[in-house]
Amino acid sequence: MRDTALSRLIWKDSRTIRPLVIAIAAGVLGFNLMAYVLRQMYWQGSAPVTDYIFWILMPNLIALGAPAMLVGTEQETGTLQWMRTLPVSWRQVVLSKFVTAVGALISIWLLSSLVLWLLNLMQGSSEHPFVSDVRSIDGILYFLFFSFTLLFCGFISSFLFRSPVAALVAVVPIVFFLTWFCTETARVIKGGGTWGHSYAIRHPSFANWLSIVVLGLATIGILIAIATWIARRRLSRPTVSHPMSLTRSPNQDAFRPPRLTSMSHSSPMAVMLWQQWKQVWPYCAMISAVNILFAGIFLAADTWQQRNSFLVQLSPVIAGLSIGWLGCLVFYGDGLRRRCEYFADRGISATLVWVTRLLPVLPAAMLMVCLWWWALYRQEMKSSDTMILWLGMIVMFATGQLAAMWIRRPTLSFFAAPVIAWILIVFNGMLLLQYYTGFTWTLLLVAAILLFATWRLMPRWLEGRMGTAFHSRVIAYSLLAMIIPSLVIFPSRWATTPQAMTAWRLQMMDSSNQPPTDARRATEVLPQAFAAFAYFDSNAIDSESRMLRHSLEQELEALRSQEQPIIAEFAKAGEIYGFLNHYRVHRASRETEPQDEIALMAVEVLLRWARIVRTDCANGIQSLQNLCRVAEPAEQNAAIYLDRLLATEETDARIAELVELIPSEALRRKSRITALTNEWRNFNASVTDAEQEPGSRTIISFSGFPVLGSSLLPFERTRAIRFIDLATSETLDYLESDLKAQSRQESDRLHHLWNESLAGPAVGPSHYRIGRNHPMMWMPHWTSDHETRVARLRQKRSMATSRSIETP
Amino acid sequence: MQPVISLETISKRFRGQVALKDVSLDIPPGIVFAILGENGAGKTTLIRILTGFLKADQGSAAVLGHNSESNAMEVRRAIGYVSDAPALYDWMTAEEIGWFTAAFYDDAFPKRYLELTRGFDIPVGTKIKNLSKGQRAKVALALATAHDPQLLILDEPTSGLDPMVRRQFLESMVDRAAQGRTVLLSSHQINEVERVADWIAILHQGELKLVQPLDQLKASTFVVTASLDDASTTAALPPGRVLTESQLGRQLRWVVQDLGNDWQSAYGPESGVSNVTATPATLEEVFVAVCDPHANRPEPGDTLPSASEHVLSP
Repeated sequence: MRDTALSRLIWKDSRTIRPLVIAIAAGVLGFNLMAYVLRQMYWQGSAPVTDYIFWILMPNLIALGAPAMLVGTEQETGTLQWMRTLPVSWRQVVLSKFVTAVGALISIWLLSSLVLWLLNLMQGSSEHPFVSDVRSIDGILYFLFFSFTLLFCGFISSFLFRSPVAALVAVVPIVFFLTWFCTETARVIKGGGTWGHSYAIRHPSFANWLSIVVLGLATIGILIAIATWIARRRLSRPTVSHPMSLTRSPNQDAFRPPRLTSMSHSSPMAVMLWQQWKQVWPYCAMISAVNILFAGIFLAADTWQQRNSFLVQLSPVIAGLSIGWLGCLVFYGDGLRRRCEYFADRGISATLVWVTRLLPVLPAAMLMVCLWWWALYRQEMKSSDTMILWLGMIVMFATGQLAAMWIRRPTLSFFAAPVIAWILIVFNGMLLLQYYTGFTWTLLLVAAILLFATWRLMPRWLEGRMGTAFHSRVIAYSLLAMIIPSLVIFPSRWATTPQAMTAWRLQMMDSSNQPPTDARRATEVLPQAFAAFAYFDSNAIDSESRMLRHSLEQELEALRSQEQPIIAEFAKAGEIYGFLNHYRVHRASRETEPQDEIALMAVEVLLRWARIVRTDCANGIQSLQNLCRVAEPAEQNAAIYLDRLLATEETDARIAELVELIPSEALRRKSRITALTNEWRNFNASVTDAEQEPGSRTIISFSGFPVLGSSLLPFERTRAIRFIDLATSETLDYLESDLKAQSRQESDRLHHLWNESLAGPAVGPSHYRIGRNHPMMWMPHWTSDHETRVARLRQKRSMATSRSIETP
Repeated sequence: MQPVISLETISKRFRGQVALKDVSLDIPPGIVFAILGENGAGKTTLIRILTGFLKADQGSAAVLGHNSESNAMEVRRAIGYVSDAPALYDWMTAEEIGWFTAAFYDDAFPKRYLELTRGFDIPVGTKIKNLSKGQRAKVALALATAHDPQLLILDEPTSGLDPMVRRQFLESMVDRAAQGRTVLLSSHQINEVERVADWIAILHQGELKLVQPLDQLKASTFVVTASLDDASTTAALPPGRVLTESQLGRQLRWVVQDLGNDWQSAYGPESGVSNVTATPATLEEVFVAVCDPHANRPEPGDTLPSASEHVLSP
């Protein structure tokens, strides 16, 4: 009999959470498939981090959702109360819920692991620090422990709070602090330091491992005991109302005539705002408190190590989740037992209902969004990814309110909202906005469409017309929200694509117009000649100076004596720039005589590099990349240094010699024009070659910038080629005429054109790309400022020379 | 006189199932109009079409001069409506929900609402979720009538309520009709309908079978009983509209509308029928006669009663 009762209870509970299990199982398959396809299309060869994230995430959704559904939904529908009227013990009721939830959790873990295993088989596993951590025994035990902790914390919270929403919100801080506590304790056991003070973890012994496993099992055992105890109180004892919760019990006043009190007549807007506020404020306060708590944790992280800790890393995710839940609150109160029909019965304007549902919750959500904007800004997270994360919080809110309207079971909307929002944000964030960082604002359009959707659907929702037409509309609005960034971005990109420059291209391709190329071999340029910056240790200045001097002497000797030296064979550009920077700062305050000599040697090396590379470029045998990465920064840095030196000191013959080494204006111009023209021709030849090899995955570069990849959309390919045409054409025109100052409009335009050509979305996600102001992108810096400086140096040198002749 | 409710050939189907079929109806003002029908007859569908919650597949509906489909919001604002499970914000007290609802109606609402709740003995300061089912129903009725609507629509309002509350509900309906307001009541509680309704409509499987003033219906409908001398004797049908005919042994029973004054002339000594009597039919007898799917409904001209009852397709 007992067994039959238990098996029936388990059957009933299984049916209750079946929709959740099916949805999450579909999510496991769907999300992994999506990630697999995306990886094949866009991120081939990258580490399968997303697979492992899904592997961890999906079982934990079950752990979070099962208690809320098994206890919270039954509370909402009244069946939990009905169970108390049946001759079944509370133990069986609780045991059935525990067994069902654990079974569902293990099933999803197994399914998730099976899918992960298949993916690893199909695409091979690759090494990544995150993947290695997760795949270790340590990692697997940790995530299993986290899931079961989350599950039983969920049961504690669900039996403790009568409101499923309150239970759901409360479980977040409980589980994260408990997990953090256990993680810290496990770290201490493993020998990673004392509480709050960690140091490198040595290899844990068997005894350490045993202690950790026992600790984990004991924690879960304690959580089960607490959950059972609270469940017993909830299911077996009479409901006791808190004396403060009700002013009077119904029996006291059942037959007492009411007082005839006066009743004011307020505006519909005012009373509806009051009504919405009354039903949402406790949840609003709870969710905001959780959000503020995690914002505080996030802001309190000062060091790099703290910022990478479990709690701090998860804080923005929890913030997004809780802001999504605030969105769910918009229609939660009216969705419960379809109380919204009250408005429909009285013909109250759907717009008025919509506005008054939104207004009390929106300020709280916007306050949280602003808080996170400030928190992210304060923690110096200013990348485009951070912007997506931040705007994603607004999308989360908008998705929450749509989910609360769409899903008939109000509690389920709190789980559905993050999933829907995740799809919207990931689809747009990963596929589009990481490429088109300038269009991150389109996430606001996503949110606007979702808000518009609930406004339009409000009459149907109020009247209970939630059939196929309603669901179709919700899906249509969601799809529109999903594609709206594309609808803005692609036409905008297409509309701003430059016109084809057919005549100019023909002229450039014409062999009679091509620059001459020298038959000589180009001077070899080692990568250490590329502009970089190495920190010069002032505490070890003597030893570092000695080493630098030695390398400069060797480099100079080679440069002076050999006909075709190798650039940067002995000296490194980074060390030279580091030294010159240090020297510029400290030369006034120190005994620098030995370093003066090193500085002059460094300048000479830079000028000789510049002269050699420019000459090769002018002869058509050196690349634009080497011109930009070696010659241009070397020459400009040397000129700046010499300019300062001549401004402060009496010059001598050595400095005059160095000024003489600066390449002439004509060489500068010729080297730039020839290198740029040749680079353009080489680029177009590569494009033609690639077009003849369909399916080729070759990435075509321009001046070292990867510009055209195989996954590029056709119109983006055209756009990139046309922008390179336009930028090259205008730069060549610019070089042929008089150069303009850095701040002039022409220079700004070149900046824009080269940014669009070389640092735009056509190249890849923003973190793959070279930044807009990267020193490699030198073309927009070809301004008259450098010419003016060089002219001034020559003038000073001639004045100094004439002075030295007059005073022999 | 302009009808308060006007329905013209309304039809509605749900997934191929007929819910309403060519329903046409005009309801004059100042009466209590009751729609009777068994469960699933289409009463709630009819009311949801009237209030604009449902769109009819065919036909048109107007309430207080407003088209129910295109001016649904106007209809709902103008009427009072109480469903069988009224949606109320149960975390509010009765006064709070009155104050809340008052915002959507005229300035007289609060005073009338307080009078009604006082009349209904609704306790003060108690949340609706802590009120009894009857008290909650009373709050819903007070909310629906405090703006003194021209038309009050009640969809099975007394189901599950105790006799005391039912009595109060019914009295309030009669009061409203006396004040010149119209009440549309949907119910299958025949006894209470009989007590308050001025007009009756019987809806059966989506078809309007009968619409008549109750007094007229009761005055014109009779139950005629007769004993057959022999069980195999053939008896003529009584003159008038025979709604049903049943035979139990030698006992014959007809429910007849518009029974002719000379109805007894057909049953002379040679007719093989004796003890022929006619008594006024109760509303329940009329309802069963109209709605009973197992009843035998002879066509005009039939003279042969069946030997045993059989099922007629309605």
